[in-house]
Amino acid sequence: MIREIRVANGQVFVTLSGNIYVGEATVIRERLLQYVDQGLNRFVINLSEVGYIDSSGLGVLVALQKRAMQNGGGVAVSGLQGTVRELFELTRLTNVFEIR
Amino acid sequence: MKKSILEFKFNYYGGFEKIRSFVGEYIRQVLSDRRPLLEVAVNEAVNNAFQHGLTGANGGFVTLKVEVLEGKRLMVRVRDQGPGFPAQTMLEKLERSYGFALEDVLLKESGRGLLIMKAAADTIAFNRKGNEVLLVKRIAHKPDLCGFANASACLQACESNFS
Repeated sequence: MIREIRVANGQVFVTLSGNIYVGEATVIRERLLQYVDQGLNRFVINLSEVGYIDSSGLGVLVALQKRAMQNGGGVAVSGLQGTVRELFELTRLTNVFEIR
Repeated sequence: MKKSILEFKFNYYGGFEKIRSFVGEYIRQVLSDRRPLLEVAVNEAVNNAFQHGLTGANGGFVTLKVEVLEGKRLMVRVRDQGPGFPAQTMLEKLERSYGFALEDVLLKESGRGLLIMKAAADTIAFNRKGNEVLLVKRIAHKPDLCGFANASACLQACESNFS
């Protein structure tokens, strides 16, 4: 779920936590794309507290990246560990996002 | 041959959500792994089945079967009642595309589930119709399933909640 969203210096800092299944992914998508609609285009997503994510959650992050890029920005991802990191590497999303 | 089997039928996604953590815990204990990729793969298979199969108002259902064979192999079958899709062909195409790491492919919002299933299992197979997937994983250590001694009773309770 979304634990924190903070806007500072024109960047949106998001901390996700827990298990991100299909239902949670839908909620996260709606919340984060609102910030793109407001004109913000730089995101930093902290996944260090995420224990589970699957292709639905990864798809949301990709959707955010596409929208951010279309507006001249981008998404950076931090805190990759365990299975979450494995999934990023497996699906080559490490080539899609800036990894911190 | 000694078998341990869990079998569920769902006619709506909420039914699966109710037992998802139970199935995940079972897989973790069988594989003696705190975060097995196979748990993600099973959820991907079920998500696909609900996405492509006929459920709910259409009267269809999704079947999830988890078997442990002789304590050596974990086999998971997910079947829906939809028309099926050319899963094997699609998987091969995806593997080629991801191999080239083309930006337009990597930026697609869907299509990663099959890749995750392929990577997580030792064997992945689809039936001819394309409405059933089989995932097989070798078990490295003999599983301790004492905590699941009452699995049947638990499942019956779960199932009675779905009807």
